[in-house]
Amino acid sequence: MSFNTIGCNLFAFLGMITGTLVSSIGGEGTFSFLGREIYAVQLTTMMRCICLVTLGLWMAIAWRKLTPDDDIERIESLGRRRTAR
Amino acid sequence: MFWNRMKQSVGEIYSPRTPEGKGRLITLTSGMVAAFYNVFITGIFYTGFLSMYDISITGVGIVTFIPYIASCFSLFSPRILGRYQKRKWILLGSKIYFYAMYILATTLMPLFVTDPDQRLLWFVILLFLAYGVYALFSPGFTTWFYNFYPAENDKRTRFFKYNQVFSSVLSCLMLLGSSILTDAVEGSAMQDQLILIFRYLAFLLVLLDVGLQAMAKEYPYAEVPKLQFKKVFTIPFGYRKFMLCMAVMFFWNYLNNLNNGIWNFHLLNNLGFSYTVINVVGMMGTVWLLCTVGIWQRLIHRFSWIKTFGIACVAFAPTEFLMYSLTPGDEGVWAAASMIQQICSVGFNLAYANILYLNLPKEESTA
Repeated sequence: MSFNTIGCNLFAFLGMITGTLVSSIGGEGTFSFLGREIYAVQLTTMMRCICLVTLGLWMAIAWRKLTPDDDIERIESLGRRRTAR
Repeated sequence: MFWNRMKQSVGEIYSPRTPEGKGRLITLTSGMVAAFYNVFITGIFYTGFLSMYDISITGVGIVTFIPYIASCFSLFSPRILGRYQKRKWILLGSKIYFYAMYILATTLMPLFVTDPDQRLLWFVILLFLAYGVYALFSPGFTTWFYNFYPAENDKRTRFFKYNQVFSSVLSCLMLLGSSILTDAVEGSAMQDQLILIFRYLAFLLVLLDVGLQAMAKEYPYAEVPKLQFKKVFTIPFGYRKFMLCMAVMFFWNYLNNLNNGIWNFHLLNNLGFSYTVINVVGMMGTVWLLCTVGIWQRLIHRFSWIKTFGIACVAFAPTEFLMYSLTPGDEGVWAAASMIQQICSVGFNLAYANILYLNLPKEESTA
């Protein structure tokens, strides 16, 4: 529990610092990026987009590595029953 | 038919006849009361409260960092909590202390300190003392109430679902009601008075919440050998699946906070969206929660907690690209993207709620 609380808060804090640093690029106005005029804060959404795709795909593919064995067995037998039907 | 099924399902989980059912009922009602008082002491009311005392946007940012820094004290939590087999009253006492500092002390302090810089300093000191001390005890609540979580997968999903739905609906109604009330007296001295009255009301609700939690049974905790600080950081590495779940949670917290706070500032100031549009779309979250929670529940049952979280991540990602492309006047695109995000968030929140417990080694749960 302590490990989890510290880790989650630390990473949330790091996220806030990274976001603040990224959004301070180019000051308060807009700047040109890939042919568009954008505010720096928009870069954080692009970062989130890339990271979410990566995290999501990894979790969808490697879900067995994070799931308890009895849950894996239950889900696989559910899948087998569905295929048999 | 639907209501009968719903009644049966709720009754099965929250039956007060067994200590576990009673514990779950207390978890639910306590969560609802917490959702109620959190409306008055967080979010827009908290920002309103700070700006009442001339705290600048940078000051608000500094105050936002405090909980994250103070949470490092939870490192000492296992050593302190491990000393007590009966810790219920200590935990509840620490909760009252936290909210007394967070609500009462910060509300009363500006009566004695008038300089805005001095007020900011005192806000930081009081909040640090509140969060720092509470960080030592608050992990104990999870260990205490974890005993009431249903062991069976399906029942556990329903338990998380109902907790989320009931709290969300209540919090949404409260936000709507109190926002209308506050907007009705906008610009007058009554608005400030109302924000202060809400804060005192919140403290009374905290006492009610503590009273409810006090009724929950406390089971003996697993005997753990005296924990050394370094073990908090070494024990989890012995459990591979648990560590992978932790990595997901940590990374998720990082991503979630990348534009926390500054994004609303961007919508309001750079894109010129109105408060009304932002709040109305925000409240749609509860509607989507009610409409889609059943679908997410079925996905979890079929694909596992982890895979469902992954699916929600992949579905969420394109909306971030839409957010990146927003320009002034794109309220419609923003509203559509936000609603897709709200639908995905139902899946995220439902799955995230159990990721910590998926592989949690019970014998080392305080570490």
